[in-house]
Amino acid sequence: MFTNLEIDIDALPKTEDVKLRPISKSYLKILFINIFIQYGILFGILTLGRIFIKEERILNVFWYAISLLLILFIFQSIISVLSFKKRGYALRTHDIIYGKGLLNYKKTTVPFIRIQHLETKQSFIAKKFNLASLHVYTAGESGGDLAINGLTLAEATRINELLTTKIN
Amino acid sequence: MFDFQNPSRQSIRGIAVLFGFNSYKIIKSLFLAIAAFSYSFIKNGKVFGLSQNKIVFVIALVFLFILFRSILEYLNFKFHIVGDDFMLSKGILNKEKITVSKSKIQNIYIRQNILQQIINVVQLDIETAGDAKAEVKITALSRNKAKALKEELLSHVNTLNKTETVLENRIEQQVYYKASIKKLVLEGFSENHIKSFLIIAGFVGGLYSTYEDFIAEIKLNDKFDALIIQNENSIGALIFTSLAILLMTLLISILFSIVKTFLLNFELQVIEHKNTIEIKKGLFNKVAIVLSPTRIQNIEVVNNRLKRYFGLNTLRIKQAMVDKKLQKHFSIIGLDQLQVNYLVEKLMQRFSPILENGKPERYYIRVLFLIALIPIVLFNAIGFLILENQFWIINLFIIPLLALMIYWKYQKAYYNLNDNMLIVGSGSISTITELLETHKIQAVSTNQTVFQKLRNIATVKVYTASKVTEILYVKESRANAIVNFLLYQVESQRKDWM
Repeated sequence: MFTNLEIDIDALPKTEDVKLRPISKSYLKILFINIFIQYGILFGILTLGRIFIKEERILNVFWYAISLLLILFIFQSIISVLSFKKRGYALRTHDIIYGKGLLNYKKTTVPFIRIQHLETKQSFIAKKFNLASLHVYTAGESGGDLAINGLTLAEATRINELLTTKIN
Repeated sequence: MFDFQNPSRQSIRGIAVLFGFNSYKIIKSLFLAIAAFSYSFIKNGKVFGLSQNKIVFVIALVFLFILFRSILEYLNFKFHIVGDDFMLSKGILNKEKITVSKSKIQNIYIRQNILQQIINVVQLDIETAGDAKAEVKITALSRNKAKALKEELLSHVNTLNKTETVLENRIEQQVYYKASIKKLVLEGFSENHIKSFLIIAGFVGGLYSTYEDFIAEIKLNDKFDALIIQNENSIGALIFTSLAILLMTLLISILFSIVKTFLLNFELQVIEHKNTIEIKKGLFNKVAIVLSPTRIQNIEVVNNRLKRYFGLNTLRIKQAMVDKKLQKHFSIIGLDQLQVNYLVEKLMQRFSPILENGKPERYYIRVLFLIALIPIVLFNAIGFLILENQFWIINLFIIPLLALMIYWKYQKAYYNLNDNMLIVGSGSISTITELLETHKIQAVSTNQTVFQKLRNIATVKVYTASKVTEILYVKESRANAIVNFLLYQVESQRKDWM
């Protein structure tokens, strides 16, 4: 028999009540290694510039540039540490939730029935820490895809397998 | 009948089409160089110390090379059908073999640009799901062969689609809507002319920078300066000249918009089939597009105050898995409100708003004001460079204009959600209404900056396979409720999105 009951909006499962699982702590190390590499290169370029270019004007600006870079470096480090707590994911019966971002927090939910394919990736550095990232792709180019970084390899593989069975 | 079992080439006239395409490509990529050379030729009668005869010889040599290349390209382009696969081999030195399974074919377009119209051949594009690179383009086929190939390719798709095509062939096609010349003119007239103006300005600017020296040569600037100096004394004359210039640019922009609308939408027809709708249009570049409701992800209805007065609405249809270049043709202009309702119902479903429209929080106005600071600073900086100490006069025009835009933008922003559809309104000068069916949603997200967190405000983004729809700045609790409801709809209905 066909029924068409009114939906009680308050009784719907609530995404906001789901507690997100934090990602692996060692991912913070990877974040810092990346920041160090980035700023290492920038500091290196500046120092080389100072050594090889002996012009008065550039020497004067040099210390300003270094301190600006230092401030940016400290700022980004603080943001990385604080925003690390915001990263988290959760699996429900019908969908996967992922949240990240400190200044601009974004929480995306992808229903399992809309997943096109999955990918587990491991970068060179992540391999050293036994970490992996899980990419969840949906259809189209509008950008509803997820990339969960900093899962342990075992965790990523397990979720990948679970989702694969859910999709099929 | 045509035999597709054995490898066959395009129509022999295809050489001319390939020649045209290749020449166009070379001229386009060398446009700047050609402009520079032609300038040097006009000035000195020589390029690199070559005389006129030698230049003609070099140009002839280049075109001979293009012709040679086109013939080789033609000879090496072969296609045939084996079982359920369409096979294509091409390439002169780098051989390429493409295999497309019939079941993977999403859409087949038959097109004609101006060159193809003159030579009387058509272009056939085969579009596949997913990988955009596997797209197949056959540039020159006789119309009959193209039709036969299209039928052949669609014949074995899957049984469901088969019945669909058979049914469609049996039921006679019915032209639902034809855009009259008057409608096209009105559409062009009521376009947003700021856009046309920017395009023209960009084009003129580009030309100017290319021929800058040449213009300096003929002393156009001096004449212009003389004209200004002559009238400098009387402010009335200055106002008159600026008004005249403004009027001229407006006139040119309107003309440009009308011509553009004509070129793109000439003989626009909407043909109704049983389950699908076909759009045919274009003057130099004729396109025929089939819209099927299952593949449509979003629909936008666009108009503005003037267009509403004339009863003109534009329907933009976003379909999944469509070539980016073709996507811009997925629109129907000059529709009245009843026709819009009819087509939306045909392509999606009847919509009956049950709730009152939801509005963004007033925080949105504050954000708009902050964004408006950028053009204000920019215009003031430009004004300072031109008018020096009297630059603030510019603000008398700009600030009221921006305030009006902000007012419109807030007025026109709303959302409306019922059991199976989401409607979001936006726009400032134009009015945009976005429609999407909830079961076609791919993912949902809530976005919140630190400042929004303090005020318990969030933005909801709704992703489909074609585009993102934003429900801007609603109360956090409301945002969560919307997300939960949309997810519930997607996950409980378990309908296919395509």
